[in-house]
Amino acid sequence: MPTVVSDGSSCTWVGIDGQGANTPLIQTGTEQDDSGGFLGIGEGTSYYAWYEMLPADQVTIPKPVSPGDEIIAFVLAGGDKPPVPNQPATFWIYMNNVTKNWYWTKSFTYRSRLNSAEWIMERTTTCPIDNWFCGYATLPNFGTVTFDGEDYTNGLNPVFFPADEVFMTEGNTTLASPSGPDADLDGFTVAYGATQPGPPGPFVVTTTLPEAYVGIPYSASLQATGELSYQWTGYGLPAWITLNPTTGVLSGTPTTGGAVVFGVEAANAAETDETSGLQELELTVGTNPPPPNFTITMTPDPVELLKTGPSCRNSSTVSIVPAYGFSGVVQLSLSTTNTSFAHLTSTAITPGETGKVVIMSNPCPVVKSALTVTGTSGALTHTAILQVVPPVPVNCDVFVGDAPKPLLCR
Amino acid sequence: MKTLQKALILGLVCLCVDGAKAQTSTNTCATAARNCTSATAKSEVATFTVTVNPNEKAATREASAGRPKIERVNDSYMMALEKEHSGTSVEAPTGTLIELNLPPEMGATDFELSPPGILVPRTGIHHMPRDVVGILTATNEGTVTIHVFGARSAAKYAGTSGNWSGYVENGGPFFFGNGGMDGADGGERRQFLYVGGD
Repeated sequence: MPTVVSDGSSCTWVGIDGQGANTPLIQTGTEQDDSGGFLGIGEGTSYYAWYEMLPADQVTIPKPVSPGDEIIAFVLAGGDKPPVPNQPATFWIYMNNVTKNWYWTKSFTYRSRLNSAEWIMERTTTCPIDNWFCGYATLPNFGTVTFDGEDYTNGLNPVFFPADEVFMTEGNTTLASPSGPDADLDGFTVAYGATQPGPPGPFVVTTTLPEAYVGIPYSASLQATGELSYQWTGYGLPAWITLNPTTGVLSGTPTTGGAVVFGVEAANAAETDETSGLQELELTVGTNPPPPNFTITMTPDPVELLKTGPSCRNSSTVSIVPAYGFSGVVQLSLSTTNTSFAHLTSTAITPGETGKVVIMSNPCPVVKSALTVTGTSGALTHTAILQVVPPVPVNCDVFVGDAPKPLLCR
Repeated sequence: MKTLQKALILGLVCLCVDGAKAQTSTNTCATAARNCTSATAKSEVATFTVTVNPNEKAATREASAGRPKIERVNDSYMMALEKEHSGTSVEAPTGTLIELNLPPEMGATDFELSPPGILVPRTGIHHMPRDVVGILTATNEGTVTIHVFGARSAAKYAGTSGNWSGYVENGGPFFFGNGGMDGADGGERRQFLYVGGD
């Protein structure tokens, strides 16, 4: 349920019918209004749940709702026999406030055309008691609101396509904009204003995988966007591949060559029914791996120097990333324009071991610089460049009274 | 706490009741109210003249000249005034519900009745069908003009609405499954959502 932060009257609902002339409309949702009042009278926000079966008036659902609540609502036509358009049928209106943990449901007899279903953010229609001036209310700024299909009994979710989108307009001004459908095509976001929001997550962004080779340990990390954390599931994975459900890392050692196709899916770890939909991936397993190789990594990079007294120092960890079965010893060397500025703690490391580049400078540098680490193993030579950033100047004015000051300020 | 787009006269200054935007106007405050919260200046985009006939009982009817189609919607009889009816005179039996159903390119946002009392708008807050700016009841005998105001769009765009934003699936059956609830034999149609605020 969205929060409204400017004057106006809005509602968020689901319904059946409501398109075309003389249409019935059965709907349920929440109202979000904000009035500036007049001379201090009637000022404030109002939030409530309701249902409405046109042409009857809305009816308030006597249960509490608040901005930020997660609401599940549906309108069901059917009961114990299939509904027939324009004939009396049993309808169920159901609402569940997940956040406040209440349920509400009621059945009605209603005639519906059953020819449209909608998921809507609306600016409501208002008419004062004196009937003097009626029409659409101002749409308040509601930020965004997200709709997502929820499996209820037998897994029938809506399937949205961009052609189903509806933008709210007034003249040449766009008042509210829906996103494209989410990855599993059952949800979207509506945003206040003309800027179309991105669809709600999660999305798998990995579309290709690095090649694997028979007999050589393989590892690749799947990437997703739209959520803070994910639960990964694989479908049709080769027997040699393991998918870590938390990290999304594919790993294993191929036993046979050729191309394999499988599917992966990312779910919101906090709400696993919100899924990315199946992402198909193809992995090629080669039988003739390239010769063993390696790369050098340094963490952190760039490294920011820290002030300690009149000097500055910090360090970055050096490690070797093996490829294609590399297991040799790498001889490390360091080059810098000022050899007294930095040194290596180890000059030879193997995959799995680490070394450090320790950087010290007196006085502290005031400009960025770079160091080059070179690794050599047999005929293989690789380099990595480490960016070195001077310390951020300290504003000593913010340390007042007895608050301990950094050395720089003393 | 609905927002009333309404203005009161304070000297020559009209103020919007919702406090959204004060207007200074020497025109009537109705004019000022019309522009209370509008991003663009509004003008009259449609006009309908309706004669309420007390001698005819509200019932379904097919469309004919000056007599738009009336359909039964549950226990009521409804007549839609649409773009093609603008500028014309129409007749409605007493008790008919009249909806103002105008496409988004007309930019309709609100309406006034002259004189009041013949068609009675439904008061309070309503959640309308797509592009319906109001529903009126033909209550008393007489002839009334409905002035609809708004801001026209420079072009006609598919996928727009004056009052809705979201997704609409047309054509039905939008959900159909075997089984259904409580041992039902099929024909289940439903919809649901999460409304996640932020």
